[in-house]
Amino acid sequence: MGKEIIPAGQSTSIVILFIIGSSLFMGASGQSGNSSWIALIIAMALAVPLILVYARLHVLFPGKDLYDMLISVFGAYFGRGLSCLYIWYTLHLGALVLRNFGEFSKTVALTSTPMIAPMLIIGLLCIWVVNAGMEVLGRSAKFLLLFTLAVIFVVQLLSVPKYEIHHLKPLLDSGWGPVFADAGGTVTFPFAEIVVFLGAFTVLPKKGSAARVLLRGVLVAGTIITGISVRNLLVLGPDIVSSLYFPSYVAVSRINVGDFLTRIEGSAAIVFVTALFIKVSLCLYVSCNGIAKVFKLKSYRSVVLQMGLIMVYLSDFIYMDIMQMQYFAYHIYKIYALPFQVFIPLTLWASAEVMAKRSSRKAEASQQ
Amino acid sequence: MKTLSKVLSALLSAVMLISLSGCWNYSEIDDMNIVAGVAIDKNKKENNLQLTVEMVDTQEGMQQSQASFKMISLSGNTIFDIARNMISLTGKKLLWSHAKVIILSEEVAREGLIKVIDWYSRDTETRADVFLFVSSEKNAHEVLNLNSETKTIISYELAQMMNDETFTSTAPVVQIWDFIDKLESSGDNAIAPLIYMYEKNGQKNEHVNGTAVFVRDRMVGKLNGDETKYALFAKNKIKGGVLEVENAKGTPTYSLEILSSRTKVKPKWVDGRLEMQIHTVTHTGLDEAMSAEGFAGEETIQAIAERAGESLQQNILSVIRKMQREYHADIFGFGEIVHEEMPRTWRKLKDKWPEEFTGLDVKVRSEIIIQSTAKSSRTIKLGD
Repeated sequence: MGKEIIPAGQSTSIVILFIIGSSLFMGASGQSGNSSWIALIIAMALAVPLILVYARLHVLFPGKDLYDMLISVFGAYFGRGLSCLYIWYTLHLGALVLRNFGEFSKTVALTSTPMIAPMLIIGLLCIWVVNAGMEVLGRSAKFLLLFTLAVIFVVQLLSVPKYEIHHLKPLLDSGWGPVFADAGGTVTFPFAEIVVFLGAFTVLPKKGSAARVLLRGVLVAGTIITGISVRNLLVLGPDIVSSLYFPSYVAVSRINVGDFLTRIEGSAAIVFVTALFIKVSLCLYVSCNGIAKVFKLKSYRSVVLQMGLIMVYLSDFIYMDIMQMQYFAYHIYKIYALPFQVFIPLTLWASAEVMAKRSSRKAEASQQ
Repeated sequence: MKTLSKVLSALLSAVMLISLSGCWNYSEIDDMNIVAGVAIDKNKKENNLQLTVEMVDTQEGMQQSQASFKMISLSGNTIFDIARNMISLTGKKLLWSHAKVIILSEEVAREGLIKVIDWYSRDTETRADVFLFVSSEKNAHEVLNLNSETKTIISYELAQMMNDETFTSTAPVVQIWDFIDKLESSGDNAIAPLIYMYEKNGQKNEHVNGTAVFVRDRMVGKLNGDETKYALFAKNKIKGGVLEVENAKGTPTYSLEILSSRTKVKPKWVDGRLEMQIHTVTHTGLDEAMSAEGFAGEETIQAIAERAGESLQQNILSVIRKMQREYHADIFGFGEIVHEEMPRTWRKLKDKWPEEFTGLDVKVRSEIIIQSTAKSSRTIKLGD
């Protein structure tokens, strides 16, 4: 079985859909009220150095993924231990995202359907696509991205008549403090979650530029998220946005074009599902890939079904209710995610740089 | 082995076909009662709430040329409890997503609205874009009961009325989310349209005219239709309507149709006091001249426009004064404007805004532009 390589355009699409995945539902976290879009822009800027570090790892270890890197830098045992942490992180993240979708469908769309049913359907779909391989995922991401962008763009245009510019005034009402707090939270959710993509770095061409893929992805996704939160603010106002679980859904439900085009929120919700599908699939792929690497399996495909079902089941019992989900997403997650997104990759990078220096010195020495 | 897997996959597909297609909780439209509108009253006997629901009758609606309706009424302690208990009266679940209006009795409104509208904005079966009314009659359900006289679905008629309200501008158009938005924002008080029963020649009709003024979530007072129009001017919510203008002797002679109007409100510090400066620019068309004097002498178009501007100016000022003195309710959103334009000042004034609003200096400047005189260029001339 040959290695799967997907072109840069497709991996960029995966990155974009991955990042906007849950933010399309949940909106960005917000204590900063009507300045949350500033927080988003700051968060985007803060995420760039992290992303450059991730991309640098690809240059240092061409053709290797996160687990190979961890094992080759930290040794067979400690490296495998860290890999297990990442397997948990991706499995958990996938479950969280599935649960977001489950809560969404339970709360607004299919209120009397048990949450497990839609989650299981999406979960099975993800298992299928991961089993089919990253090439399939890449191609579907590219197609779905076009579709998602089109829907978002149309919805954005249709909501223009409902914009009330005065919702954005006064600028920085509550000062810089909450803005920076929000920016910190937004770096971890959703921008730096792209650390998951490190686990799929083998799909990038060996000489390809990971930096270009990741940066372009993050910038486009950041623009989309900023656009959406500005729209939510303009349509609903900061007070209402803060009271809602799914502000985007309610903002879209306000659209009324000549009493003719109304109640389109259900159709607009389809883009949530497409983005979420990519996000869960990537998480599933990376966690399965991790298991394959840690236990030296021939192929990750043999564990996809099991991991997928575990993920669906985990998502079913991971929270008691939607209040817990929101609390975790906005208050606990930003601390919980730090080691996975910042500390371990930074340590990995630093040690890898030292090792690279040493080996190049050795190479020089042997040449002389 | 191969046949086994084939059989298994066929079986699996059959199971999927049955369980995955169709809907989980499938319900037919004729198993539901479609709610058109809701009235909420206070039930004095048991000191709880009474909910009256106007429903579209789907069975008979097919045969008759006009839609028919059903009414039911039930009391209980919480709205949702009543809404569910109604099933025991109708035998069918109620479908709330097509409801258009919610009418509250004045008594309920004066006691506080949060307890009656929270369910409506929170639940997923209902939609937050229903129109809100306060009934000026004793009971809100009397208004809905008018359908037995008019033979129409009152709720849909009211919704239609709200869509056409821009032509009269004598009542505010308020949807539930809008109302809650106003409740939540500081420096802005909520309003809702008033609804009356109007009886003439033995024929009863519903009549939407005027405004209920709220402080926090309690209704504190009323404005009549004309005052509402001027209040809407101050809120920059005027899209149409008619302005009466007197002639030089003081009898109402001209009607101006409002084509468009813009209001700008600016807070300013004048001699250490906060002053709101309101500037309205209204484009109108002269649509009626009840005189034969022509547009000459004291009755030139210019003079009419000036006179209209002056009286508009005074009327807007007097409705603002009324709000300041009688109700202490900032329905114009002046607080929010101060918040937006002068965030620093607002931080100081925020907590005592109601008192601050009462003593606020207000200056109004109204400009009326007559763009056209409709089809005729002059008044009707009397021949000898």
